Amino acid sequence: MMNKFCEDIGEHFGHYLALFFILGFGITSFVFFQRTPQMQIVSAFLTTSFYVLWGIVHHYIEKDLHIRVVIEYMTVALLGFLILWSIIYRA
Amino acid sequence: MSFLLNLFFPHYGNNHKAKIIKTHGIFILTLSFVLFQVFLNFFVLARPSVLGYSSNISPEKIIELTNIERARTNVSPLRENRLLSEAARQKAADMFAFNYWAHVSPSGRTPWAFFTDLGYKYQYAGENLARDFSDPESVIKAWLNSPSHRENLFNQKYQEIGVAVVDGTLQGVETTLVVQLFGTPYGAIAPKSSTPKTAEKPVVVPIEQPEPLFNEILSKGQETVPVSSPLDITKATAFVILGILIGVFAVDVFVVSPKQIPRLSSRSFAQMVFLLAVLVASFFAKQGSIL
Repeated sequence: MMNKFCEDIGEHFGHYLALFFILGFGITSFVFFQRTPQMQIVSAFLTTSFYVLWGIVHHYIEKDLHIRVVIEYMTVALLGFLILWSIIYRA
Repeated sequence: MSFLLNLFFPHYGNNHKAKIIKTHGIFILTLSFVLFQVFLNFFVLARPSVLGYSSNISPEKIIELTNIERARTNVSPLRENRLLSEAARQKAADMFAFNYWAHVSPSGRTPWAFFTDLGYKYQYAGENLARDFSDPESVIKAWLNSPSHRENLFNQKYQEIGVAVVDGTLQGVETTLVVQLFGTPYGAIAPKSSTPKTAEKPVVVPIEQPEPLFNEILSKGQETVPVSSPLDITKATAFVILGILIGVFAVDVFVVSPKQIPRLSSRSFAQMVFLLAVLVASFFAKQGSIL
């Protein structure tokens, strides 16, 4: 089970590295701008947008890109963005 | 049971993907979260005493926790002094009015000016500041973790304390300020050194003392303590939703991926990592800071 998982990570190492970079940069900027809510919203929006873009590029390279897949990424990204936006709004 | 299995666990019956992480499942969760936020807004307006925007910090609790910590290290407890509490409230009001987050105001007004303006003649004095904390325990913990603030909390020379907790907008951000002032009345103990301490750097005590200006009982600052805050409820809801989704995506990664079942789907590992990032960001969205 773990072997298959590690194989998949190794096979797409570059892709996941890019994903970790996007998300790491997003978290860092989000925390860095914790006294500037407008910048936090911009950080959250850019990070979620780049995440969707990452999904599209990844599936395009893997040749299994489909509108359903894009919608799945967009739905999760939307949920993530709305959660962050709500917390910023309430904070 | 079958419904729960379909909802949370991938198997033949749900086409090897838990329904909650399918597009429509996540969409329903998103919609529910939005509707809950709208409901929360209405509830806040309708019952402000139950859900308020103020933090759950009261000056009394800060004083109580300070004395509990002092008792643990066998340091005598501090007496609450109304003048110090009023000085703390005025300091917080000054910070909001002149929009600064510092011990000394932009015009050069030191913390000790707030003592003397109210006629508090001090021998020793100190100040701790905190902002953006939601509960008193976190404030005390943050001060305890900082050597200079800790020194103020456990200073044996201090005999009295005053605390104010005030909500307002500081540098464009809704903020809860906690101002904690320590003092020892002039002549209360044999003087060895007359150096008041902020958490950052000491300032020399002025020799001349003004006449007392204080005639009436002064308030201790705002003490609106709602039962719970919308931020805490939003965070709790977000953590539950994110926790469930991360868990189901993790099951998907470790149960379905090894079987190599062909399906048109997003990468569950990527979705899981993204939601984990949202969880971490939510946790660190607005942390308290001390000065």
